[in-house]
Amino acid sequence: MNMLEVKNLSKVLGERQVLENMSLSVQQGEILFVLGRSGVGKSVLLKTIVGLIHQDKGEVWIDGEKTHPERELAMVAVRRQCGLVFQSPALFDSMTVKENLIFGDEDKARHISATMAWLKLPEKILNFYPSELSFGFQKKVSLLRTLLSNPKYLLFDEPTTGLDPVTTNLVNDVIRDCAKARNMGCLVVSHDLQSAYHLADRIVLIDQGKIALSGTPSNFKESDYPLAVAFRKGTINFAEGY
Amino acid sequence: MLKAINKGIEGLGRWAEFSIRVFKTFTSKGVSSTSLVEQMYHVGVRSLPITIVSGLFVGAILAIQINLQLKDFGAQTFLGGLSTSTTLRNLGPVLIAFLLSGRVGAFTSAELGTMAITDQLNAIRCLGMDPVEKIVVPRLVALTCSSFLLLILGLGMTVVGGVVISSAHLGVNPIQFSQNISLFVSSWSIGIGVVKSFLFGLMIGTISCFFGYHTAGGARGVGRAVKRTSVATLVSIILMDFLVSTALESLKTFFEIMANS
Ligand SMILES: Nc1ncnc2c1ncn2[C@@H]1O[C@H](COP(=O)(O)OP(=O)(O)OP(=O)(O)O)[C@@H](O)[C@H]1O
Ligand SMILES: [Mg+2]
Repeated sequence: MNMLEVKNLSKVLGERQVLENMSLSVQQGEILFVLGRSGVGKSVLLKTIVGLIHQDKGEVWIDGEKTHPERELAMVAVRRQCGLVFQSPALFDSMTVKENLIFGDEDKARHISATMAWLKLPEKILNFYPSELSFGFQKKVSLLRTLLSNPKYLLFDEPTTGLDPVTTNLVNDVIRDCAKARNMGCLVVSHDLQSAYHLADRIVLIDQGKIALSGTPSNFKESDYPLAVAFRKGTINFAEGY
Repeated sequence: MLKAINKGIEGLGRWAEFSIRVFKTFTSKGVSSTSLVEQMYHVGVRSLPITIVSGLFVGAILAIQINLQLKDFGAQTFLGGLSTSTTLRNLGPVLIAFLLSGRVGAFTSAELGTMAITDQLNAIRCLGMDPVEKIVVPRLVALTCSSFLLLILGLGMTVVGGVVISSAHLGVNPIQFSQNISLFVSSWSIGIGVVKSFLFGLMIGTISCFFGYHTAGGARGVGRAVKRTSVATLVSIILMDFLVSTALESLKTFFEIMANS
């Protein structure tokens, strides 16, 4: 049973029920998009899956094995299998790009060139510090760092937010290659509907901490759930709600 | 009021737990020498100027103060001994530790705090590693060692400061100054200075790493962590100074009684 499963996950942060009874699953070779408005708890969902935030209720299963977030040592193996690409680049700013990439495992240096070419990153940036790179390059380096540890599942936190259209397409191609050519399971959290239509095998829409809608991109296109309609129109009224 | 005390005790417990965890990681995994050297350079070498300058001035100020009192009794011959002994045992370590807590303690907690709020510590966890081992241990070891060495250096500089000001300004030449140092300054007082320096270094290290590591809540969170670090280190240095002085004095009395009986 090669899949990443989230079962009935609930989490209260501060006063708010951020995740409520959330269940979803991603198989190897599949791309699942989780769409939702800003602040709905998408980043919290991903961090909970890899145990950076501990859930109040619910379980995470990877390849038929339950994870134990309270056991930090046991989570090491989980995190090696589930690479998380953070929303912010989260690069170590006191280290050069190269030191970031090989952090903790010098062996990774052997794969740097090939992976950099894949992401169309010039090798000269290896000696730069993260602060000397543009945001787009930082995000690509961050993606590269996660790819180098060669995980089985990839969790992307808004991989294309803040990128130009060309870079967006490039990142989308990388995500597709990861799933289709390398058979990784990709869970992409985003509010970029175009990318979702382009890539997703399935789309899940979360609203107020719960799953409001789950189906194929064409299901999503036809749905008359108000938030889905608003997403399609691209005219979410941010004055409303939160 | 009761709530505040409760919270304080809880914080103390969490700090102790954290320190034990760091210590265990250090004893089981060791520390990578490259990151240790890098950190020693950052916190140690770069703090040399401030340590030297502050050591000189602390020594000079104390010499002036003590001279004022001795002059009235015409007992200036004791200046060297008295001022050196007070500086080494008590005020020297405390004042220099204060300066270092501002210099390296605040720096470390701000650095770790920024790493925490920008997901850099989480990124280490996600790469299957332990941020305590990779980031905290090298910083803490470097911080403790270099604070210790800097304190010793600073103490040395206080003596120099005392000598310089006495001969330049107070009319006590270096030979007179050093004549009765041995009368007042035993190896015991030097020992007290060394023990205190080590403990103060440890306090600065563990407290700043503790608050930095547990930072949450954006830029304000980093500000809070730095503020808490400075308050906690200053208070703990004073408390530690008091505890160590009384404990060591009782120990000394105990030894003396044992030796006499
Ligand atoms: N450590 C925390 N403590 C308290 N509340 C938190 C914490 N982390 C997140 N939250 C809250 O949880 C909610 C969801 O945050 P999250 O970052 O997951 O949103 P998001 O869906 O990723 O939004 P965005 O698209 O802006 O990234 C927010 O209301 C946030 O304030
Ligand atoms: Mg987010």
